[in-house]
Amino acid sequence: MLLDYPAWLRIDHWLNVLFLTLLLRSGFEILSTHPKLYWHADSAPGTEWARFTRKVMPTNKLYDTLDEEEDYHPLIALPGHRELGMGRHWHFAAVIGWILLGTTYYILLFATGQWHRYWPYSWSIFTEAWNDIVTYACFNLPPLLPGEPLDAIQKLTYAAVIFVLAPFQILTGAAQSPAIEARFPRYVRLFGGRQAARSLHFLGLLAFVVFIVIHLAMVFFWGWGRLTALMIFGSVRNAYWATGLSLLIIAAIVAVHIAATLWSQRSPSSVRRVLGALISLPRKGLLRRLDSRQNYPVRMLSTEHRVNGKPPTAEFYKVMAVHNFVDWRLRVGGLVEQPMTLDLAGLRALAEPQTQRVLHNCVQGWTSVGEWTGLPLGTLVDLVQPLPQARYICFMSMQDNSTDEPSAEGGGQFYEILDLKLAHKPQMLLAYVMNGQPLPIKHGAPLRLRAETQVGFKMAKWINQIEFVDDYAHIGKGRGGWREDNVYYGMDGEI
Amino acid sequence: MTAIADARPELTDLSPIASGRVSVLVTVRGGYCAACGGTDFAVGQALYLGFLFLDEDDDAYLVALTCRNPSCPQPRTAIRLRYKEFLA
Amino acid sequence: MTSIAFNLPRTVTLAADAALLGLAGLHAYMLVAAVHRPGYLVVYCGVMIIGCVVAVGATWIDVDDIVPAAGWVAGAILCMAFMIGYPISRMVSLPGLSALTGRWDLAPGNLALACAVAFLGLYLTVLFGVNVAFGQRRGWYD
Repeated sequence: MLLDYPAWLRIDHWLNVLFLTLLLRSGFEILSTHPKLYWHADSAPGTEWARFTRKVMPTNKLYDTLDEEEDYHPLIALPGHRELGMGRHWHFAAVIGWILLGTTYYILLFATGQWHRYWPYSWSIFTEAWNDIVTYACFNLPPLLPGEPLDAIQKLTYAAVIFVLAPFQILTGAAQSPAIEARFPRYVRLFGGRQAARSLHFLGLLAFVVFIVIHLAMVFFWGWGRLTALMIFGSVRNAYWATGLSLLIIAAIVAVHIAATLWSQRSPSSVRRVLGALISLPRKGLLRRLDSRQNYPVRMLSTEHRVNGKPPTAEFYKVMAVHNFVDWRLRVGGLVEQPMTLDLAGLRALAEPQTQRVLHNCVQGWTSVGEWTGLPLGTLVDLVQPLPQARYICFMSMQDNSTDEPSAEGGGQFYEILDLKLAHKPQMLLAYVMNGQPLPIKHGAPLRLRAETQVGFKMAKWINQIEFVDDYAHIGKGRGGWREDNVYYGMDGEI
Repeated sequence: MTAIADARPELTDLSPIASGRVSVLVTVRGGYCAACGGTDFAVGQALYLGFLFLDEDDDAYLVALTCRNPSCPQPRTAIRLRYKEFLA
Repeated sequence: MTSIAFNLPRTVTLAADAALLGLAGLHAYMLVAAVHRPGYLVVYCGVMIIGCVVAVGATWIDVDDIVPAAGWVAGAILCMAFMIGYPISRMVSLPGLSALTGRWDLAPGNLALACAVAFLGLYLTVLFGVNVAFGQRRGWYD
């Protein structure tokens, strides 16, 4: 088997550079939203093992995870400057491209027999690899393996990156999808839990960065012109042309990065539309069908469930709260046969309460385990009887981001829209009790949504109105939710 | 089925002395029901505002008041007080 | 306050100790593999090996603020001494080790340099507050 440089291998290599660098930069953007890493699923404040922020949170006032967000420079993050929505779109779009590319690479590697360029022929490779390290430590270049394009330590490293590190990143990434976690809680526990998966994903990022640095150094010391000729032409010829072309390719990749950054900064709604269309294919096609089956044991409940979003500062809310929400009313209407207005007692009386102990996944990356009790959303939907043209449920909150949340990225009343088809999924709940007590003010009193296959931002808090609509283009800025309007998140929250 | 407690943890019951002080303060400040004009209120629980709400001072409390007029259309209201005014 | 900080005292201390033990191990290898063993070389290697091992031990004795810190300082002194002494030894002619004069392509020497750099790098991160060593506590609670 001649282990040479066929065209598909070369093309895949350069495409891989593009996708990997997009993943790295967008990954940093996602990290900046909650720049702390934990091992335990509670993400309890102060227990992080790594922190990438100087911010210190107040102790005398409620703070939320929006206050903890960091602002990274576009050199490191895509697009930078606290744009999680954009970062997520780029990350998931690049994931799709990278997985497709990787799949073609694997298939071609094995179909053509080229897999032996990475997979060792015998155990002796480990001794040879050690000899190579000693040779490098003597500032010398070790010999290539006979008839192969690599030396032993390079071969082992590539095998580790291609067959271990890359799949590892995909698996730990998938373990952070609320839909996957809700349906397969044991899969997440394989990695030590949701936060462990996130931390391991970060360590994988570091491993890729270290690999890239060493890889570039190796190419430099072994002969940039010669090796780029192999990776562009497939044979060692025209080294100067190869050097020039390699720099051109790198410049093109940099140009794509710059374009992506500028496009995101100047027209985030079109990025959301274009990339969102691509991402919604696997999101709706694969992830939407997953149902939540979570039942965490009581001992795993977080002592301090994290908070995102601050309660309404409106006077009427505070007066309602001090009277234990006796005067609160939930108006349910829109495209329904039986609109209704309910107080808390009436809502509770509609059905036997359902309790669930679940992992809450904030879009920022932190998690907590909580117990929620309330009315199954499907029960309310059945009671009000949506008209045939009703397609979405709009949950409206008493929170006004113009006054209530200084760390918010915009103003106006908070709302979120859910596809009506999700309403009867298991563990879709209108919760009025948390951990056995009336839903706390900081967690959305008196009523919040629980949608366990979705990321947390969909789960509106401080709800006082539920409207059934046929289209959401005329609500807010028309993107399907407050965060969608202001941070350009995709409307679907399965990942 | 999980047992559901009714007591809201953010609300605290007031001692008779604290309730008395609140009643006095309502009278002293000329408080009246916005719905019916009544000035006789039952004093309820207190909600500590200082931690949960950004727009409140650290020592701010809200105390529940219920208008005693049986025909009042909107009897539930509240008074905002500082810690030292009724709890210290 | 640094914008990058870790709360991994055991991991950091283990890594630093591994670097020190690597340095000690490479000096032991030098002693064993050397064809000629002049007396000063034996003394020097002995000091390095014992010094590194003692320093490593001290970093794990969490009795007060002084002992583990002294272990780190001792390790830093040994590493800096090596980082200064080794290049000098490459430039001068060492009595009894003429075959090694001027040679930089010595794997044990370069690997030992890497160990010393690694230890000093970790120590700097501890001094600057990026990392905490075993025995120190992070005051993180938000």
